[in-house]
Amino acid sequence: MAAPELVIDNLHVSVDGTPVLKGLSLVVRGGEVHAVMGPNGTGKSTLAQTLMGHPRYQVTSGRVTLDGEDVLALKTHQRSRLGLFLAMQYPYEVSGVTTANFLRAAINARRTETEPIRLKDFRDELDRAMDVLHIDHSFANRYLNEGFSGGEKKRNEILQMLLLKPRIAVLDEIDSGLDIDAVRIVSEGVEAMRGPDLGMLLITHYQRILNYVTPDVVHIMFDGRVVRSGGPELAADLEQRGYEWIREEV
Amino acid sequence: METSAATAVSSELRVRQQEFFATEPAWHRAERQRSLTLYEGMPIPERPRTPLTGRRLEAIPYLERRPGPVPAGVRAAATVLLTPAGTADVALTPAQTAAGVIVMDLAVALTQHPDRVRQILGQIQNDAFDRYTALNRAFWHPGLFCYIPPEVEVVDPITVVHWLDGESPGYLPRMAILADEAARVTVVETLLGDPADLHRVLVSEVMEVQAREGSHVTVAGIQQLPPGAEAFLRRSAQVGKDARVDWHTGEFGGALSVAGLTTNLRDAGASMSSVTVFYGTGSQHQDYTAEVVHEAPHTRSAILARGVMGDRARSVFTGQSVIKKGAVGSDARQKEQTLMLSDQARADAIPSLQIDDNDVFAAHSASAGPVDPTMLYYLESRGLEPEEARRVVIRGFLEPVLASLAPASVQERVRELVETKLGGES
Ligand SMILES: Nc1ncnc2c1ncn2[C@@H]1O[C@H](COP(=O)(O)OP(=O)(O)O)[C@@H](O)[C@H]1O
Ligand SMILES: [Mg+2]
Repeated sequence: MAAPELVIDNLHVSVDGTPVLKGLSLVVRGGEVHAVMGPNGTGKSTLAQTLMGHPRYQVTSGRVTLDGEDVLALKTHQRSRLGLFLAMQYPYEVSGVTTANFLRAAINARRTETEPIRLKDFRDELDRAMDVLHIDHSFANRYLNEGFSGGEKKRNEILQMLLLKPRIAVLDEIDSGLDIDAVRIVSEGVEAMRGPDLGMLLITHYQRILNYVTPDVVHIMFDGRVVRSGGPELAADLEQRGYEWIREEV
Repeated sequence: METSAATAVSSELRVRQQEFFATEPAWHRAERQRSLTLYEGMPIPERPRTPLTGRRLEAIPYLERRPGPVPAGVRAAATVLLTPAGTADVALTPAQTAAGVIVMDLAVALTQHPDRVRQILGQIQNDAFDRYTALNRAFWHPGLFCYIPPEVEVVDPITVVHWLDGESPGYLPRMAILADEAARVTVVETLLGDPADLHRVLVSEVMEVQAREGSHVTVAGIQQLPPGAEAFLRRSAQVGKDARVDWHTGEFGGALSVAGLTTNLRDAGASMSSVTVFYGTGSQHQDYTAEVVHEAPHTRSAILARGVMGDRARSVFTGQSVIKKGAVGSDARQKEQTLMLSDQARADAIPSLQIDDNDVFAAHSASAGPVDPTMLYYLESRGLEPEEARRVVIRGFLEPVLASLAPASVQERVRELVETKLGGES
C-alpha cells in the first residue's frame, strides 16, 4: 500500500453553534511526525475529535481526505477501519469490558475479510506491546480504563495504537499529566511505531515531549487556525518566548 | 344482587377448594379455608409504579387445569419437575438420599413430615401479605418440600424446574426449604415455559426458606416465564444465628413480574446477599423488591441489582433495608443500577434505609440512565460498529454483577439469556 496521506483543507467546525475551527489546513504523510502546539482553548482537541467523528462537533465547511477518501462522509468506525486513530486527551472508562477483550474485538472488527486473530497470536502481540510501554501484564484483565490513573489511561491509548496499527494517528496531549519517566516511556512507544506506513499528528501544549520525539514539522495553532509552521526550532522558540509572542504577532 | 353474586363466586371457590384438597390433613385444609377468606377480603395490591387494575387479572380463570405435554429435555435436566398438573418424581443422587436429604411433594410431606412442615409452611411468609400470597396459600399446587439434615452439605445443587405446560391459565406453586443446623445447600429454581406461548397465565409463587443456626442456603432463581405470564413471586427467608442466605436471581420472562424478596436476619451473625440481573424488552413490566430486616446484632446484608430496559419495557426496583433497634454492629448495603436503551423504556430505582439503631453501617445508591453516547463513540473510534459498541456497553454494564452469580450453571444460563435479549433487541 502506498504511504498514507491525510489532507485537511480549510476546515471549519462549530461546537453548539459556536465556531471553533476557522479554516484549518494541514497535510500529514506517512513517515512524518507533525507537532501541533497552541494555547488552551484554541481548538486542538476539536480538530482531533472532528477527525474521528465525535457527534458533538459540526463541520460547517472544508474537506478532510485520507488516501483520497472523504473522511467526513464516513462513520466513526469506518474512519477507524480506514486507518485513522485518535489517542484521546481524556479517554473514557468502560466498565465490565477487559482491556484484552476489547482490544481483541477491535482487532477483529477490522479483519472483515480475514479470519479473527488467533488467541495465542493476540496474546503474544499484546504482551509485546505491554512490554514496550512498561505496562504490567495484569492490566490486560482490568476493565478498560476503569480506575486507571491519568498516566495509565494515556499508556493504554498508546497500547491500543500499537495493536491497531493505524495509518494516521492523532495523539491529543498524550504527554499531559505524565511524569518525566512516563513521558519517556510513551515517547518510546511512539518512536517504535514511527515509519513510512504511519503519519502522526502530535498535539501538545508543552514542548517537553518533543525532547523525545523529534517532529518533522511544527504547527502553531491559534484561535482555530494554523498561524505558523516550521521545523523543530519553532517549538524551541515557543518554549523560550511563550504563547504571548504569537498572540501579539497575529 | 351484587352481594349474592359475590357469595356465589365465593361458594364456588369454596367448593373447588374442598374438591381439590379433600385428602389433605384437616389442619392444612383449615389453613386453606382461612386464606381463602383472606383472599376474598383483599383488594388487588396498589403499587404506585405498577398499575395492576388495568391488566384484567381477575378475568384469568386461574383455577382451571389443562395439563399438556412436557418436552423431554425439560424433564431430563431437573432434580424435580413441577407443572400445573403436580409435582413429578424426584431424582435425588444416591449421596443425597444417603445423607437423609428430603425432597418431596409438599402435599405428601403434609402427611409424612407434618411436624417439620408446620415449622415452616406459612411461618416465614405471612399469608396475609397481599391478595396473591393469600391466593397461593388457599390453592397452592404443586408444592415442594426440601429438608437438609444437620451438618449435611449437599454438594450438587437441587434443581427445580417449573414448566408451564402451555394450556393452564393458572400456576400456584409453593416451595418450602428447611436447612437444619450447619447444613449447606444450593437450590436452583427455573420458571420455564414455551416462549412462543402467548396465552395469559396468572402465576403466584410463594417460597419459604428457613436457614437454621450456622447453615448456608443459596437460592438461585431464573425467571423465564412465557410471554403471557402475569407473575407474582414471593420469596422469604428467616436466617438464624451465624447462618447465611444468598439469593441469585435472573429475571427475563413474562408480561408482568412482581417479584419480592424478604429476608429476616433473626439472630446474631446472620447474613444475606441478593444479586439480581434483569432485562426487559417489548412491553414487559418488571417490579422487584428486595427487602432485608436486621433484627439482631452483627447481621450483614448486601443487595446488588443491575438491569437493562429496552423498547417500551418498564422496571421498578425497590431496595429496602431495615435495621431494628438493638441490631448493633450491623452492616447493610444496597446498590441498584439500570441502563435504559430507548426513549420509551422506563426504570425507577428506589433505595430506602430505615435505621433504628445508631451503631451500624448502612449505604445505598441507585441510578438509572441511558447509554452514554460518548462511551459508544470511544468504542466506535476503535473500529467497532455502532451495534457492536452498544452490545459491548450493555454486556460491560451487566458483567460485574453477572460475574458474581452462582452457581456456575446459573451464571452461564443467565449469560445466555442476556445474549438472547441482546440479539432480539432492536
Ligand atoms: N465538548 C465541548 N463542549 C463545549 N465546548 C467545547 C467542547 N469542546 C470544545 N469546546 C470549546 O471549543 C474551544 C476549543 O476547545 P478545545 O478544542 O478543547 O481546545 P484545546 O484542545 O486547544 O484546549 C473552547 O472554547 C472550548 O470551550
Ligand atoms: Mg485539548
